[in-house]
Parts: sequence; structure tokens; C-alpha cells
Amino acid sequence: MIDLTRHPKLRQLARNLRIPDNGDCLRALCDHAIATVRQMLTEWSVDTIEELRMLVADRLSVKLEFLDSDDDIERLASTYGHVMTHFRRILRLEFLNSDTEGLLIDNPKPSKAGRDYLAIIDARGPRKMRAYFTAWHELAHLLLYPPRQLVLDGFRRTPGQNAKRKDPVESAVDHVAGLLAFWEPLFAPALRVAADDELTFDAIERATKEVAPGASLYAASFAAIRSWPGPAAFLTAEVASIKDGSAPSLCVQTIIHNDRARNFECRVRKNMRVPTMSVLHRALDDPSSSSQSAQENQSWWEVSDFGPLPDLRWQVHAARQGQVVYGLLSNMGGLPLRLELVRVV
Amino acid sequence: MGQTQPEDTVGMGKRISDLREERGWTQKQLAERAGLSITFLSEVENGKRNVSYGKLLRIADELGTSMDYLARGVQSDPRPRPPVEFPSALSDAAEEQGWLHGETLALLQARQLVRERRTPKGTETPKEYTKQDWVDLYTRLFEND
Repeated sequence: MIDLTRHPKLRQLARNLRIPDNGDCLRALCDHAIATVRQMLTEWSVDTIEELRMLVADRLSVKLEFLDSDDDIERLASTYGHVMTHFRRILRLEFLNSDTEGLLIDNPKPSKAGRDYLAIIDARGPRKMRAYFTAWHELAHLLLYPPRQLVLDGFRRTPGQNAKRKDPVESAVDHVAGLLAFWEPLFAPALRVAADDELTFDAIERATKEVAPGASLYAASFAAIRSWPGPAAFLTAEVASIKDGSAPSLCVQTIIHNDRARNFECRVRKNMRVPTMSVLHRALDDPSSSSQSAQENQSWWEVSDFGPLPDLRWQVHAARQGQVVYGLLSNMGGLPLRLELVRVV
Repeated sequence: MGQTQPEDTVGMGKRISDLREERGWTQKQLAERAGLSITFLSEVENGKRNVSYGKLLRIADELGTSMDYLARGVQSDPRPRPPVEFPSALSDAAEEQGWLHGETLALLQARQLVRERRTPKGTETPKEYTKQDWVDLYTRLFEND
């Protein structure tokens, strides 16, 4: 995994923005983007994250357009054909014959009082789930452009997920997009009201519907872990083969912990096998996608050569999404949330 | 969420109405896109109604203009834009193949997309396009309908 905090490309990005580049650059870039958005909010206020997105797009002079079907390519080609020659062909080349998720296009001929940029987000089929986040990704890119580079060289393309994971700038932009897409001052209070004392997928979905409609459960779960006051972790698991040659089994594909969970020594990591008695396994076998939960213990998890992980009770919520199982680990230590908070503080 | 200043309502309504008509939309079409009632939009356009920031945001978003312009008539200065420069390999290919200027420009713009492309292998350094690369791109863009 790339260390983004001191990556040379991010240092350069920080230098271009004239912000400190000698410490944690990723943190500095995130702080810069958040400060910029806060500045926007001093003049105009918003009640929902959708309005925040519209405000940020307005301030950055970006028109967001979503491709909901192949027919929308024709619609956009007709509407914005004046932007560049053979726009229809270019759109078809990009969205019908490649893995592009989004395009950010410099609008060389804005109409009267029109916006300077056009962002086209692919929201067709399975990409609909990611469109909400991709739109924020495009805006985050512009927030990280230094003023003198605001004139783009025509285009900027958001590549597919596999390609994005390899690039430090794309990863940093994703971090910023995650913070903006679930703007803490709006999302955290909504989550606390929806969740009461227990972090569940239902609570995350209710909070998302309230302030960030359109966001996927996956992206919202990341944000929920970040803003949850108690120790918590979110994981995804899929049936996969491990290099040791054993039969395919349910394995962790991604996991994030909040700082409070790290204090509780939550040690579940990527590629670990999910214990067969975990509710995560039950969710995989259940054809319905409704959430299930159970009290479990970290000591059920094992690391080859080292044996079981340390004893740590937690509440597990599991939900199946297609071939993937989502898991929430919370209420660590088995104590009521209020007591956990005392212990963490 | 606050309201726009009452003294701006007449000018604001006119600007909304002008931009809507410029885009060839009826009041019904804009109202539906922005999630407003036609009556409300009609009153706003006629300067008889104030509008909240949230609704103004939606109208500006749909019209693809800025809130500053709708609320205050403020237009930002056009940004300076660099001149278009054709790489020599592209110019040579265009001359040899007899491509039109618009086609050549489209190739350059499509290439700029490709230049930003990241592959699953993480390739970040773009290679310099040769004449043959431009010809191949021309084929993909114009001859594979």
C-alpha cells in the first residue's frame, strides 16, 4: 500500500497550493479542501449535502451532468456540441468503449453566464451506485488545483477503480471526496439521531437518505465509521482463494477502523478468513439482503502461524450486497456505548 | 436557509426567464427539473416572489449558471485560455492523410483524454504519440462506427 502522507506527488501538489508540504501532506490537502468549502459556506448556507454539492459546483463553476443511459450520450452531444468538435464521437469513444467513470471538460465556449467546466458522470447500470461519489471526486479535483492551473488542458478523466487505486493523486482526491460527500457537520448529527446508541446498516441508510440521498451504502459506511463516536470498523468480505492453495472461503477484502477501534486493538486485516461461526457467514448464505447481527469475539479470528487474535467482544452487523458481505463491528469490549466513550476519553 | 434580497427579485426573475428561454425550455420544463411548482417559478420570474437559497441553487444548477449571476447579475471575467498547439507528429499525419481541421482538433482533444488515462497496471508516464499512433486513434474515433 502506498504511503500517501509523504508521497512526492502529494508534496508537489501541496507546494503548488502553497500549503505546508513538510508534514502529513494528505492531511494538509484535506484540510485545505475543507477550509475552502467552509469559506464558501460563509456566504451561502445549505441544509443538505446535495445542496452542498450544488453550492460547491456553483462556486467552482462546474456543471454536473449524469449519464443515466446510453441515450444520454446523444442528449449531451446535442446540448454541448458547441463545446468541441466531434463531441459525440469523443463521448462514445470514452463511455461506450472504455472504462471511464467521469470526464471533466474545460468549456472553451461557455454560453451567457454559463459555467466554465462540464463534468460528465457515468451513472449507467452498476455505475449508478458510484455516481454520487464520482461527482464529488470531480469537484475535489478542482478544489486541489492551484489557481494558475485552473485552465485545464481540455479534459480530465476519472479512470476506473482499478486504475485509480494505483495513483497517489487519485487516492488523495478520493480522500477529499469522502470528506465532502459526507460533510461532517451535516452527516454526523443525522447519523447519531438515526443510530441512537447502536451503529447499524439501517441507521446508516436512514442518515444517508436524510442528508446524502444517492450515496451508496458502501461509501456511507466508510463515513459512518469515521464519524461514529465509539470504536467501530467496517469491512467487506467475498469468497476468494488464498495463496496457500486451500479451498475458496469468505475473506476480508477491505476493512477500515476508526481511531477509537485501533485503541481497542481491533486487529482484523485484509485477506483474513472470516470465522465460519460469524454472522458474516450467515449473511452470505442468506439470499435476502436484510441485515443480521450477533455478539461475537475477535478471538474467533485466526492468523496463520500466530493463532487466535486477542480477546475482544463486539457487536457484528452483517448485510449481503450481491456477492459481497458488508460487516459493521461496533460496541467493542461488549460495554454499552456510553461506558465505551468514558473508557476511550 | 436564508432568502435573497427583495430588491433583487425583479432583476433576478428576468435573468432566470432570459436564460430559460435561451435554453429553449418552457416554465414547466425548468420547474420540473428544479423540483418547483410552475406557479412558484412563474411568480419568481415575474419578480413577485422571493426565493430561498436552496431553490435558487437548484435553478442555477439546472440552468448551468451561477447564483451570483441570478441573484446579483454578476458575471465573472472569462478565464484566459492557452492557444491550441498541434504536436508535429499530429500535424504531419494530418497533412499526409488529408484530415480536416475539425478532425485533427478532435484527435488532439481525444488524445488529451488518453494522456490522462491510467491503466490497471498503474502506467502514469504517457508515451509520445507517433504519426502511426495518431492514425490509429483516427481509425478508432472516425472509422469504427
